[in-house]
Amino acid sequence: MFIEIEPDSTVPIYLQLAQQIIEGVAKGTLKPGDSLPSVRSFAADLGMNMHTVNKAYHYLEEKEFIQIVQKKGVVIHEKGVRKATATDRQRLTKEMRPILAEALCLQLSQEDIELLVKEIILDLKEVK
Amino acid sequence: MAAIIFIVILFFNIAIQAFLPKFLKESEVFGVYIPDTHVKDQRIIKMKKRYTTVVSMVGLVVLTLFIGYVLISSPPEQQIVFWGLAAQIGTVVLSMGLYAKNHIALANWKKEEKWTSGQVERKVVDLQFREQLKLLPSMYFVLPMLLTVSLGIYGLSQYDSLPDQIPTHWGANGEADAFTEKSWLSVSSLPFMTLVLQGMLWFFNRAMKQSGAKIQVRHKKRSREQQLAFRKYSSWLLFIVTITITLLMGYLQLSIIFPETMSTSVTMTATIAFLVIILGSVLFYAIKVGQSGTRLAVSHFDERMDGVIDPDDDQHWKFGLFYVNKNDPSILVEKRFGIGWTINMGHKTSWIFLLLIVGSIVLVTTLQ
Repeated sequence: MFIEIEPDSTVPIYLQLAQQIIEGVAKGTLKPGDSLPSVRSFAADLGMNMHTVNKAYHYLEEKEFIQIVQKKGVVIHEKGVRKATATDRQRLTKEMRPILAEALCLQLSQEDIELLVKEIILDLKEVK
Repeated sequence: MAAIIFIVILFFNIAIQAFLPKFLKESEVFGVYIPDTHVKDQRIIKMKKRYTTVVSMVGLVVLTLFIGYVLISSPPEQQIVFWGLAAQIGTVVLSMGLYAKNHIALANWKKEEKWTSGQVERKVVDLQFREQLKLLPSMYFVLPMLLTVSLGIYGLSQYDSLPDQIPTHWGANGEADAFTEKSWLSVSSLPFMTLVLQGMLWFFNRAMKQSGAKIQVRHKKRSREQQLAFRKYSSWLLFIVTITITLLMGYLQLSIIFPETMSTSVTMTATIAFLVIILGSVLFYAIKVGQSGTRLAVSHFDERMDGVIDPDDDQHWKFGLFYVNKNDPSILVEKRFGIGWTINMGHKTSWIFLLLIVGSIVLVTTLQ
């Protein structure tokens, strides 16, 4: 699976990395147990500092999307696709809040927002 | 004999230098990153052609002069070596001068005409690249080293029966022409130098695995396939070099231990075979594979993509020749102007590595 990073974007690079890996899991391109590159090779491929990759991996580890196993390396968490727990739900609520606030500022109606959500979900579930 | 070797190598070097632009990526011309939108720029194509014409023309003149000089005045070997080296250096200086001129001109056009503006820079990473990468395992490089070590130990164990003078240099006709006093050091210096070379090749093979893959945003599948193949061929090239060096040096070591079996014709044949194999492999690598695998046919094609380009990393390439990037953990990177690999001068390990090499050469030459 290819990951594409825009170095000049306002979105921090570590977040771009993490978001694309989550998207890979959502789409099913990355399956629980699949291995990810080591921090060193990932950073080399990006031509960027290892801290950036480390930060992305810790972010994903905290959300339980990846597992960092000694010696085996980095793999997609076996619970990467799971029933949301209460904490997952809480976190998602918190993360969606600013986006919805922005949508309200832009005067999107609830129907508009629902349509948008539907479109995005459809795109993510699209079988390639 | 020396003259023929010099002529072959000179011809080889001129040909590689003159046609170098043909073996390189379209997106890196004279050490300058060229965005996809400009790779077909007529000025660039003309510039490459002119470079090839000038270098091959001047090269041919130099080669003809050298051959004429050897044929007409049949000079002593020392003179041949001197003028042969002078001719080599001369052509290198010429092509580097032309390179510098083109490099500066291209960099200026790119800056003045803002070639990268209006495009989004995007860096691509293939998450499964390392899993698909097939490099030769370290074992292939360690086993020859064991052979060299055992030959070295064997040489030392035969110390008493060795002649008092140990050859250190062989002429082009296969005859030893320089000697040094027998000592523990002089007996083990040949295996030691071989070991340093073998260790270097082993290190390169390992470093290649960690080297960052350069996947192009507009040609993701093509560049991935070519990169994987390029690295595989590079690994094999390193292996061929290791084997040929091990055999040649092993043979020389044996001929030191058993001087009576030493035959100048065998030494000469071994040296020529060594040269032929190395030059042949490099030619194959340049012409069939090409830098970064650009000359290999691919089975995957990419859909057309607009509006995006690879990130401009010119700021990390000093004069387009030296890669200096403190953030990049790669030690080895693919050369921009040249075939093969170069080291990341921004990485501590590269400097330690260079120091070790220089140190061991100095050690061997001063102790003798």
